[in-house]
Amino acid sequence: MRLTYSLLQVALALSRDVVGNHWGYELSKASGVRSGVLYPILERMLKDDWLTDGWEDPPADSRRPKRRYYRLTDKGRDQIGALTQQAAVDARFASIFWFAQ
Amino acid sequence: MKPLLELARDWRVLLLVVVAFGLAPGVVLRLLVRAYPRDHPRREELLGELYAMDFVKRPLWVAQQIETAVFEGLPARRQFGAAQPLEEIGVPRLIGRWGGDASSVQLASILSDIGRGLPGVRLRGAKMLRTLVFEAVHATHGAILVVSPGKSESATQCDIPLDKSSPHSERSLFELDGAVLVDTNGSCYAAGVRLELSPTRTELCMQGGARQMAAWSYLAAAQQVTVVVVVSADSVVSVLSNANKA
Repeated sequence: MRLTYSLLQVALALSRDVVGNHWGYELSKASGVRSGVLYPILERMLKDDWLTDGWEDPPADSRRPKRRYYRLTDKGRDQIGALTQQAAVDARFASIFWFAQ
Repeated sequence: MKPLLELARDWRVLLLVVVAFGLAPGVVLRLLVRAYPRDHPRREELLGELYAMDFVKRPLWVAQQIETAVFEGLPARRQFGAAQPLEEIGVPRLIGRWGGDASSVQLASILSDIGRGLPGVRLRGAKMLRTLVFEAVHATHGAILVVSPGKSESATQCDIPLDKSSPHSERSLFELDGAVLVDTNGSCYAAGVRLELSPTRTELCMQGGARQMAAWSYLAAAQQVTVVVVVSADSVVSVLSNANKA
């Protein structure tokens, strides 16, 4: 997967919780990447087995539709680790790490 | 400030605000997700996200989904239309049979049957298809019209391959001996095609003329969802499809 600013932001948002479930809207907020860019990135990550997905069990008292969650796989954790290391030495992405500190 | 307060007192303005911020996000999002193919998970996913977020954030978030629908949904739909998955293909069956005069009502019914025979596929060339169906129904000695989302492999066997610059008129296509093959855009890419009769598949339709037999046989062997319109010499129109959900 080609390293881009948006991909790195999504990867960093995912790496904040490497075992939990992530939701599309929450990821969009955490990464600052708008939905039109986020969902194609998530789709590519699913295709490359970085993520698995599923549907939540909605709370019994709620009538809202089920949300789809994304979870990092072992391969995804490794790939995101490698991606972050690669970006850390790349001057193009210095601002992301600077703001993250 | 005063005019604003006066506006807020007007029940119509209040109703508009309630509709725009309360009801409209859900309605607008339901319309937007229709850009995705029918079974795409994003349809449910976006609706699930909408109702899980704060009420006040919904209108802006829904507005952002226009981009998602245009740049992800529409390409997904185009891809879906171009290549139907094999599991959509089922045993050929008769969708509709029409006889008598070729009135506009009958033409509309035949077109509706073609649409039913191609579930999940958008007929972008409905106007052209209507013209072709009209010419097929009026063909003197009967006709066969094959409609599929993409170019059929049988086009390689066609006697007279056509392209858009061909001088053949729609009527002359049906004067040729053989089937006319079109895609769902209404573009004719072959005419005078001999639909091969497979001896192992003729048990599908033991009755009917040679055209009927050829159509059933063709549908059984087709690698994509296809509709075949068979017009017999006595102007009886049969619409056949191999789609599972037809």
